[in-house]
Amino acid sequence: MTDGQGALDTLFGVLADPTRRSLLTRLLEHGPASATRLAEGSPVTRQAVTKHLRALVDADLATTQREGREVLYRATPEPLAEAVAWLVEAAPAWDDRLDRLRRRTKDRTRHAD
Amino acid sequence: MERTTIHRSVELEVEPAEAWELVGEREGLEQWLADEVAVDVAPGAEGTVTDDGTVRKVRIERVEPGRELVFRWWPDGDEDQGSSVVISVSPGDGSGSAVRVIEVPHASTGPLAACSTSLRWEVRALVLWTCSAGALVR
Repeated sequence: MTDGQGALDTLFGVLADPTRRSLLTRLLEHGPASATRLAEGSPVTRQAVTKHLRALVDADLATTQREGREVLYRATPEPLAEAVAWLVEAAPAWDDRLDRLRRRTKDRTRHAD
Repeated sequence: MERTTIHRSVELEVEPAEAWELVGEREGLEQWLADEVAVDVAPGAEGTVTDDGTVRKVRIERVEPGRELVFRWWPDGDEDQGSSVVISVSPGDGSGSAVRVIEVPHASTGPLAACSTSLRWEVRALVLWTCSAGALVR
């Protein structure tokens, strides 16, 4: 059973899209920006940009903040990085432990025969 | 932090009562959970678990004999960075038993601090590198 990989799926699912990676990079490099600003000079529409930004927010890779009449998006890669780091380290440790447990019970069964 | 919850399970060839001996007793846990388990498996008991040279403090939260063990463990000296573990034993699909594990990092803190420093930076670098790669090919 390999549940608990949600953070990894989210990370790679969201970052698999080149437009979303590009938007996240711009937010990381240039700081918070609105969907209108991010759509300027972009081949995709403002509506499409907004949709991609929502995906980043849903994945905890970005947050929104209101400034006057504008909604600004800010990159926040830390929470997802934290989740992935936790899973990368803690999940395989349990695979090893349960494998040891299974082998121990097999040893017991064999000795009982 | 629902998505950081770890779920694992294993089917064993032994009856649940025998599987419980490996979960509900210190000597049993020491055969698979860690190299050294220095804690009584009794509610409220505190001790240490040592695995691969890493020492963690552990506190037994609940014991339902034959069925479930719940404990919290954390890096020595930093209880805020710990996690809760539930290990349950039940009859398996066939004649054996099933052992299920759930581990949840403490909600009050980010789980990253519990990981090694090098891993933290590797994952941060991975996220940033993936973003940069996207920028380069756009």
